[in-house]
Amino acid sequence: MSEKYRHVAEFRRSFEKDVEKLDREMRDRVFEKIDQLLKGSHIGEPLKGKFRDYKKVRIGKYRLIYSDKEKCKIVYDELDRLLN
Amino acid sequence: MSSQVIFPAISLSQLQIISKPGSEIYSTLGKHLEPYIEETLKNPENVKAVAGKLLMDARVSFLLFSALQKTTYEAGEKDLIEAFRFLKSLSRKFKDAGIDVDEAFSIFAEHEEWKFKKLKGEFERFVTMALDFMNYPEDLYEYAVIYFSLFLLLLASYETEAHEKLRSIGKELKNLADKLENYTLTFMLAFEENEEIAATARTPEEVKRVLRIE
Repeated sequence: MSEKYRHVAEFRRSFEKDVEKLDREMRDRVFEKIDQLLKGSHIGEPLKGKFRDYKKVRIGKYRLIYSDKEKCKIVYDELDRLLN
Repeated sequence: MSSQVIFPAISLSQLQIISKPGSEIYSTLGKHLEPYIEETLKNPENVKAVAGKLLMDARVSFLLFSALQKTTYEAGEKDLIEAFRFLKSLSRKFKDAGIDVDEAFSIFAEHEEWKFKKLKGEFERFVTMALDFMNYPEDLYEYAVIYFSLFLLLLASYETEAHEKLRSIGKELKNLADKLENYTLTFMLAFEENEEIAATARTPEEVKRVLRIE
């Protein structure tokens, strides 16, 4: 059993659904970012309005949205589909 | 100044409808937009200042609001597809000029699709979200400036064939699209803020379990 993180991660329902769309390589990359965040890194660009506590982290064509105070989610970037 | 700005609810797919031949609103809007497009073409790096001026132009605001009224119920999926076709043809023009704006256009397209779907499918929630966002006047003003800057850059790129100019417009498009993405994600989140927690993790193993990494 590995060491406990300093923080507890809470994942939204849509995060679980979004994970199903990811291939193994991308899941590993998402894990690396979450691991980094839970170890205390503050990376990413802040969102706006009442969500300014949230930050966006790009992982390839996906965006991981997180907050120190709120829950995690992944937004699938469907950009290729839109223009092709 | 920022308190006078209203949420820019219009989308490219709606302008697509009024851009059809014979549309009086569009030809009037076109005439009013012309000086702003020219100014953008002269100096694309200055587009945010031009968009700021445009936002204070009561006639343009009224015409955009009228276009919104006319098209909210009229706009359909085909208009969105048409708007994306327009972006795709512009994208080829930029590539010929030696600059790749595909990612910037994709970010803009994502914003447009999201807005279009909410305007069509969840109009009242969209209005509530926009009203709530207006509680943050600085962010609202920045969003309006970024959004209309992108509009002006798109229209300016349609008007020119000069490769050097297109490269300079493309550079601004990329820069502003990155900023637009933060707003798209903010609005998306506003529609999902009450979502339940499905899992928690306190260790790397638990995170891997959530991510289904064996």
